[in-house]
Amino acid sequence: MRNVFRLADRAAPIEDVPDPLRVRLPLGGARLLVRVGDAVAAGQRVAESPGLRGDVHASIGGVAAAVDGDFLTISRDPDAAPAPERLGEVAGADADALRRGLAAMGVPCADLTDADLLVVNALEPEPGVTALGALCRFESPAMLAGARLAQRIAEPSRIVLAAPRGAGLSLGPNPVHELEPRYPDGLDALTVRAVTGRERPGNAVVVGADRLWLMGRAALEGRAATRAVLTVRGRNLRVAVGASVRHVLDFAGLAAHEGDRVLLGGALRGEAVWDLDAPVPRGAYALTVLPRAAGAVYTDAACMNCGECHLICPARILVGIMARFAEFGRFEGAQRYGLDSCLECGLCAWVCPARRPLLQFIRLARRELARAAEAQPPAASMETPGDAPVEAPGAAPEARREVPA
Amino acid sequence: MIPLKLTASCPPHVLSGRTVRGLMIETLLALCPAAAMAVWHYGLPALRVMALCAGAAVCAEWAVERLSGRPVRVDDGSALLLGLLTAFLLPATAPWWLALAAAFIAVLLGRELFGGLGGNPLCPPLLGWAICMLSWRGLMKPEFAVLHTELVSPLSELKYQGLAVADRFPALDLLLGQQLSGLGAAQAGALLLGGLWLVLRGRLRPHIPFGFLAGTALMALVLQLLRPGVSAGPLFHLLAGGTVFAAFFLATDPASSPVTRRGMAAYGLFAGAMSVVIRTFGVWIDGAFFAVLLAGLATPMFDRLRPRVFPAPGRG
Ligand code: SF4
Ligand code: SF4
Repeated sequence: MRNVFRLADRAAPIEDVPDPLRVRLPLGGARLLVRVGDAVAAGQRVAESPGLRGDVHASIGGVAAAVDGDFLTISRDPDAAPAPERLGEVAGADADALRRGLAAMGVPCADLTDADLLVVNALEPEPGVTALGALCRFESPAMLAGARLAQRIAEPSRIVLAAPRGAGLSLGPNPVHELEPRYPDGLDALTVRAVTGRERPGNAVVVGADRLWLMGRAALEGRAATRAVLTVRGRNLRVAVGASVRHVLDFAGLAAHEGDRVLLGGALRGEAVWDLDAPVPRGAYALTVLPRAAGAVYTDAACMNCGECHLICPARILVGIMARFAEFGRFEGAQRYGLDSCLECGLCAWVCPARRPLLQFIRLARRELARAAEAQPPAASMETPGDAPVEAPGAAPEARREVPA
Repeated sequence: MIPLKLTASCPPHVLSGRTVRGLMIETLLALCPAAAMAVWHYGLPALRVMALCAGAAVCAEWAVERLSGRPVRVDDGSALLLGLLTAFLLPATAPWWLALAAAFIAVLLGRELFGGLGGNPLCPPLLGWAICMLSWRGLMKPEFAVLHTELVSPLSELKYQGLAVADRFPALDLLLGQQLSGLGAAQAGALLLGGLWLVLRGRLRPHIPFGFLAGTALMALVLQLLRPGVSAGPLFHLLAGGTVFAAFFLATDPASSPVTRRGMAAYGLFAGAMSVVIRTFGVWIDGAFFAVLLAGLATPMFDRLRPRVFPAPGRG
């Protein structure tokens, strides 16, 4: 049990996966700036996100071929000469302008507020993943540029790199805080606690090494967030955002069989895709094929009140009780028992001897509460319930390291 | 092309491999040394009571699950364990109908009435034991079996003959089960072995059993200091009667015990202390069992001793 939670402190170098002929870009509610039939250059901004969630850019050059639901498909002619990538820049006189500039390059930065301390989280998000370590190790110019940009935006008095103990990672002259590499301590909230000794201190912001890399790439080379580095069975692959899962698996020489799970992420936190054409979203860090036989089988059994879920929960929630509230539709009750504190690490369900789908209950409660909150305030809105946003097939949420409140 | 059917589910996609069944099997294994010691001391009658109780419990559970239309999960071993634990509380001389009655009550009233595994507010074997104790006291009390064996109950010796007599029980004899109590409950040494094995395997959290033992020892010490020459010492109370059994196998019943670390420790301490208090001042000989029932009633209170949850992310 101890070793399954060990996070990597070594990393394989980064390999480039050739661009596919077609990408399907998740828009995440962004407003389209191009029309079907338009020619687009690689790196061109194709959709604009509200807030500072990061705009969407074409990861390959070609033609905007289709819009389906919340996705834009771009395909390129295999014979045409590839148009050069369109580069931008992150410019701005003050922090707010820089934030806007960064979001326009596709990097979400709503949470990059003024802070005393900026923690760069280089702990891998899950066992088996080495992508963050690889970025720190092999992309240090971009990482340093990212740190400089973050410094200008959040203006912290200190930047600390949180790294696995013994990995020997560094981030320029910034101090390194070494941690025992053990899941779930690489989750942002827990890493910040390890560095500061306090739980959710108001004066600290945290940036994952993967996001810092995107920031640095934007600042240094003017490249938009059109690439993700994924750990695929020990290798680290740099992939065009929107490339299909199939494209990556083919490159890695991996095959998925009937009944297997294909996960964007690792076995503990990954999102299962049900279609190999699902696109790799921005912010993905791993792609895992889990054979059918190794996969979890949940049961509809009752809770036996053993309490193991509570004892393993990093958020100290009485998960058994909280999930029962959620199971029976009493979502406010679940909230009273700490639903909002859940970090979605999945350990409760991992340990449950009754094999109850605890995280599923938790997500159900969250979704229903969010839906209720959405439905409540604007009495003026004429939306019918049928218009409620539905997740498109194969979509995976973007904020993979921290659950948005 | 035929689309490939992938499995989609909520994370986590791998599980620890712990199952209810595995837990029950390991607990049953931990009880094996004590069961063997019981047969060694009491012979076939002990085996008979264990078989009757276990069989009755499994049949009752299966029947209830069938009749109530719930999924039949009797193969998870929890009913078997429940039956065996009930048998451990009975004297080896219990008539067949008493063994069946105790097991049926434990399963039906103790557990199924509350929805089955995990729903029971009290430790089911103890409920079966307590109801039988109140109904057929003469047959239930191990002390009344003295005609069939030369073993004596250290706790009733203490109660009726005083400390001088009780002091004549060497600790080793008590550990080896040279005492009269429930047929399995008396096997202090074997149970300690099994219980420690479960703790070392990580199948049993140490808070409740060690809290229980600490509570017993502390309360015995306090009473000994307050009433020198009358009350027995900690070692006696730890090894006599069903203390070890209650600490490792009854008080730890998952459903009726608290789940937080502090709650478990407080519950264990409370139950352990109460068992000495009941032994000393109550009318019942072995207070350990009633103490567990009492602590079970207070479980909702102990569960309030819970840590503050991790702060939720700020809204904004
Ligand atoms: S997923 Fe489960 S164990 Fe993890 S924080 Fe949430 S409730 Fe706790
Ligand atoms: S681990 Fe599972 S069975 Fe145990 S208390 Fe939690 S939900 Fe219930």
